[in-house]
Amino acid sequence: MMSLDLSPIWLTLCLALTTTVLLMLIGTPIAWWLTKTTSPLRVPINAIVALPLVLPPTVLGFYLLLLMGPAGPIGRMTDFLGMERLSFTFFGLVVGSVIYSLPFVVHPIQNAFEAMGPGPMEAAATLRAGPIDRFFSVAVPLAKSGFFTAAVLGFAHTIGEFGVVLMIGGNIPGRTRVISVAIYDHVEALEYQQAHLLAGGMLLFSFIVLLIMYSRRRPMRLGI
Amino acid sequence: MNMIKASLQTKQGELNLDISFEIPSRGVTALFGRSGSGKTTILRFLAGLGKKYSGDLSVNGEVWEDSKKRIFLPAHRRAVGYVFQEAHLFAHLNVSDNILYGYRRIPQAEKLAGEVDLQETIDLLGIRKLLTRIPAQLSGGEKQRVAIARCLLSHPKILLLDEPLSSLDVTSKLEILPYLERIRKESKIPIIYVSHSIEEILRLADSMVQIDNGKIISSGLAQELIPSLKYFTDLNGKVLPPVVSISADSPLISNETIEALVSILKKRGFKVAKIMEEITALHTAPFLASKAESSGVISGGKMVMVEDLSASSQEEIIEKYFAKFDLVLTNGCQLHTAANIAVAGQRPEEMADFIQKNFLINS
Repeated sequence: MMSLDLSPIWLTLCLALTTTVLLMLIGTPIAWWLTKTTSPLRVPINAIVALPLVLPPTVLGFYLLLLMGPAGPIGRMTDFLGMERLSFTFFGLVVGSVIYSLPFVVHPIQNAFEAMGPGPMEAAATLRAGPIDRFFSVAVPLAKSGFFTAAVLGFAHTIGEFGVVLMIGGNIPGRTRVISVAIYDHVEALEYQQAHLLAGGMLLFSFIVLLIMYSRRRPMRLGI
Repeated sequence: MNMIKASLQTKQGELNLDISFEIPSRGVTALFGRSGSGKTTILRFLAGLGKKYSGDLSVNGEVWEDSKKRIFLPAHRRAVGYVFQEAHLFAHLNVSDNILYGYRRIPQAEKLAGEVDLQETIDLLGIRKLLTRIPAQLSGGEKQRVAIARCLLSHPKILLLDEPLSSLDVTSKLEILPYLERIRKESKIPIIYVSHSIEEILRLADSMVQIDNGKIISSGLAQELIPSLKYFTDLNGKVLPPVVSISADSPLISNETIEALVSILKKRGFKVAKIMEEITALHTAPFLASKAESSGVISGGKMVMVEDLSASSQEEIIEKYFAKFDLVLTNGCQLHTAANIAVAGQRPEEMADFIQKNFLINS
């Protein structure tokens, strides 16, 4: 019996968790801004956030690789700061994943904020709650289901990515070899049994995630 | 300096709002006018909600807004109580946490002054039994009572009520009006009440400001102004008959009562048109009786549907088909600028007197 290397699983979970946490922190203000703004920049920013939905992951990965490489601006910056280059590292993967999964986090939160309407926030303002106070005491709890969906989708989508990861991370065991890349590797090497274990696990995981998503009771009616 | 002074110039769509007024710092001032005349914009300006307007506002000598000096006090620092058309309760909090939302944010010094009494306010609005419920379990009237309590408990310096009854059915309106009357009696702060219902204004307002098309057309004591109000004027300023809506769909007023009322008004020499169905679409003023032209009264009998797709507004319908009447009575239909009369247990004679006194004074 061939042994199964578990490190891709831990690496993937680690990557997905880090990415999700970062995405919630970055995606929430973007979603809020997109909901509230009347700036003409709203349209291009919306389009940029949605880009990963339509771009082939390899395109995104290719540009990120150039940016992070020795000739790219990010690469030069990391060189200048005496840091390790981001390409072919775990943190490079995190950066790529954050960008790649951004729409999956921003959109559900944005939808939830929009469904809330301006009413509850205006009511809170007249009840002496300042902008930050009412954001956390009214907007966030009312958009709870949007945050849940965003976190689940962000996490699951990061676990399932392949193209971006392969482009900027390569296939370094313990550093950048995530599950999807490991499956590809096993298939290339005709190690179908290991491929089956990982692929079957992914299938089960994805199904369970979607089960959890759909079994949650319908979100509370907003705008009461 | 106990006074609210406001002036506001703004353009909103096709409406050019240009007003300035002073409001005494006690009592209820009604802002009266048809839909789209700019009433809500004025309230939002007073509350500091939405965009920054060009204008200035001072309350008891304290400047809240001065667009020339770029002074703008944000809504949460103004201590205004705002009751919206919809209750806008926080769906994630129960009634108790909803009403405490503003209360918890009052500065300690104000709390210690003891002017806000939690228990008293809960009883004033009769919501003690609702405290543990969530907003989704409340009726429309209950929601609005909770919203009013929440607002009062934030210890506002002005209370702004933006057609708080407009989204409610007749029964809920009747349920809330007495609470508003109690607030009027007990409140020590100025209350600004936006409405297009004459009856609400009659019952609640001390003074009133009538607004049309972004301008103030009259202001003064409510009792003096109400009889002279022109309920319906078309664009040329022609006066149309007032539309009085009697809530026949409410269990409190029977069809017999309404029939009796119509015949009393008829005996007194008024030409009364009675619309017995709701005007649902702008283009449809239904049910004009064939006998109406001779008798002046429509009641039962053969009805004729008036459907006029060329008409662009309810006013136009009224002008076209009902101009020759002194009064149009409807059963509960919500015509804009119509007066809603729905008083429990009134006898037809009393209702006729009320209508004659308040709506037919110039006839």
